[in-house]
Amino acid sequence: MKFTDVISPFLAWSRAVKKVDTIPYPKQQNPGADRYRGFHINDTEKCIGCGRCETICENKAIDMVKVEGVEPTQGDSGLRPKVDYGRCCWCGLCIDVCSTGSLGLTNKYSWTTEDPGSCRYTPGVDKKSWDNEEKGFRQDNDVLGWAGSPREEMEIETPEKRIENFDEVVKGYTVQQAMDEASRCIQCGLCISACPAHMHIPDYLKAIAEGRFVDAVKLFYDNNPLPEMCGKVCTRECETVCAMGYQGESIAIRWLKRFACEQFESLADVLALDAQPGEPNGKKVAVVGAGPSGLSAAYYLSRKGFEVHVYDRLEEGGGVAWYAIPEYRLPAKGISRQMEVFEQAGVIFNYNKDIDSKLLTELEGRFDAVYLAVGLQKPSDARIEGEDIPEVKPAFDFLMKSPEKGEKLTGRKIIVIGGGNVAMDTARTCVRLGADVVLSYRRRIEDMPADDEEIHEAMEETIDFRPKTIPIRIEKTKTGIRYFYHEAVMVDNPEGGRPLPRPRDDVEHTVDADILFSAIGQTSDIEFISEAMQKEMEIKWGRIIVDNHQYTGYKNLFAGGDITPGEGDVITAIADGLRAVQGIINRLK
Amino acid sequence: MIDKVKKELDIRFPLLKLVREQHNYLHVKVAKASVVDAVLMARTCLGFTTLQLISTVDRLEDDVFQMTWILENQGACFVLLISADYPRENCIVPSLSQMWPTASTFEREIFEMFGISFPGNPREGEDFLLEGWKDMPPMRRDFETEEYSMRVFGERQPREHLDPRQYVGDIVGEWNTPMGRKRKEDK
Repeated sequence: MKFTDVISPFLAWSRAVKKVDTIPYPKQQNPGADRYRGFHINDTEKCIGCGRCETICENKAIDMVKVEGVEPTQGDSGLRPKVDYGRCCWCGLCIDVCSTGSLGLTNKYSWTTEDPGSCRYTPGVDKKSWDNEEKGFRQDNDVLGWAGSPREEMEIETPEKRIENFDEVVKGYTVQQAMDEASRCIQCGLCISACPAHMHIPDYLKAIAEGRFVDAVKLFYDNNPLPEMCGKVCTRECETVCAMGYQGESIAIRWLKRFACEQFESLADVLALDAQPGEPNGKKVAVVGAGPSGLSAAYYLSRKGFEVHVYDRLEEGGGVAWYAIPEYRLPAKGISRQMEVFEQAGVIFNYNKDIDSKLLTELEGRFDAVYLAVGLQKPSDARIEGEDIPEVKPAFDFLMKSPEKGEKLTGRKIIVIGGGNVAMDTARTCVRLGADVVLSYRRRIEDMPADDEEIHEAMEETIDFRPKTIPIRIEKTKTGIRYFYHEAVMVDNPEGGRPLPRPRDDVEHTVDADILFSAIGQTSDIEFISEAMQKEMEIKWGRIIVDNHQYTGYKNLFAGGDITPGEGDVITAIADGLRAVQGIINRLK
Repeated sequence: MIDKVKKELDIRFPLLKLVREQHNYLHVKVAKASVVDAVLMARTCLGFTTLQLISTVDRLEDDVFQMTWILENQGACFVLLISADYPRENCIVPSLSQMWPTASTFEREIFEMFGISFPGNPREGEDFLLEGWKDMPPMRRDFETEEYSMRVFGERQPREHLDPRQYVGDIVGEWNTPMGRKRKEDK
């Protein structure tokens, strides 16, 4: 027998008088480690209810539920994750993939209850003692990069090359690029809430990701008969709310729409069975204006069995969106591809028809309903001294003449006033026609209403941007014109809103040029509506006020697009057309 | 130390593959037939007298279990990992419980969690953690956690659930189009 064998029992007994090593819970708490994975917290303000946490959860511990006090808005489903702790295994995947980084795990892990059913709650909504706990496991997207990924880069022509011609600036995705880009979609559907036409975006992105391009096109046409146009010039509200955009880059929804349309020589063939006139119902509808709004109403009315006649003052369909947007953004080859679909669907077009009050009254008598989608026709006055000089021209009229198709530009030095898309298009078109362009805008570059992409591309194209310049007057000189302006400083607007430009000093700066294009907006021209008719409708600032179904309140007259108040973009116009279809169907029942 | 260990192992096991090395750490992979020899050699000739752990990884894609014996030479503060792949089907791995009694406990746990048999382990088959477990061993990757939990425990309480994509579509009237495309579940 060893000595230790004799002494060990006594050594063991000595522990009886030592201090215990265990913690007297609950008198004393034992906090979790700093990055311990305990109970969930959620910043409900930051959370957008995309449901990604629910999708990743292997144990199906998370349910997206409606909660009181959080209403669905554009870009927020209003749903919030509810966690079932009977299932949660605290793996933390929900935290790693959270689109906005709103979800976290605290280092609190102790919760005693007699009812196992109560071990589930909606973090951030159901108040818990650990709601403000700083410690615990949080997302580190810089390391993992799971919550956001970069978008497939779109190849764009270099500025040096693109100013030499009117070829499209954007080169388009390859099949592999498009499928990769579309497969980044997490199918949360928040984009649908932001799209005015509520297109089936997650569904067509899934179709593209799986290489089902025909299905994608068919999905476009369910509520947008001009997908190629939208694929090129849409304002893409959908991308601004994309869940992937919070910690990575939003999905290139617009480019993918464009990609799917460009996979086919003929869209009419793809839609051979779908884009057909419906069973005739004996009703006739006139659509005035073959722009996006008029076309979308015409397409769906025809498919619903109405006899639809479209009237337009131009030679072709597509409206201002198609005529005035230059080739390098919206090439003409797409026009016939899309117009074929309308003809196949049975829409009857009457081009070169100037609309006046006589024709409108006649249409109103001959047809069961009339949809007015004439857009904004008249360039706004610049209200600058000297704007009646012949060298001062409306930019809108210049663009409508399709300068890329050979309309001569008389002059080498051009000034463009304005900061919207029309100003950018004019300036960039003039650069392509070999001119030196100065672009003058009253406010800062970040205040410009044009698309960021257009501004960015224009700045790359040798255009001399002069933001914060207030026009004073224009004078005629021997060789052309002289434009006078003040440099501006921005002051806060006492009524709120954007800061206002004010002259910095009395110094008058000048630019000499051959032509000045004013691009400060368009206004409506409603002279073609007779006074008697106007009295029956509500008209504000030259726009016709309509109800939810685009009804004007006068007989069977509906209106939509830019002639009614709204965002003034293509997709809103299309959405108006869709609503008008429903309104006309309801009214003519 | 590392050079000595590598040299000694290299001489005896020509099929040995180096996985990873650090100043006091070496991970090698050997053919499954050489595992016992390699471990024995490490213990008797190189001083790796402690068995820290036996670990198993279910590499379902390759249809193998990757077994790793983690040994330590405490005097030299050096850790040696010896790995080998075994086919998943009816997986049998030699027991080291005669060399290290503690291996018996590890092997019982692996048997319970992965169903890997260790002939020669005197306590094989004794319950370790999962008393009365009748199903497929739960750490195997082909074990369907959700199916098991639904089958054994059922729905605890009816659960409310909304799919954000369908919910957003319903709210904004996505299916309210003139052509009336149907929601997925309505089809």
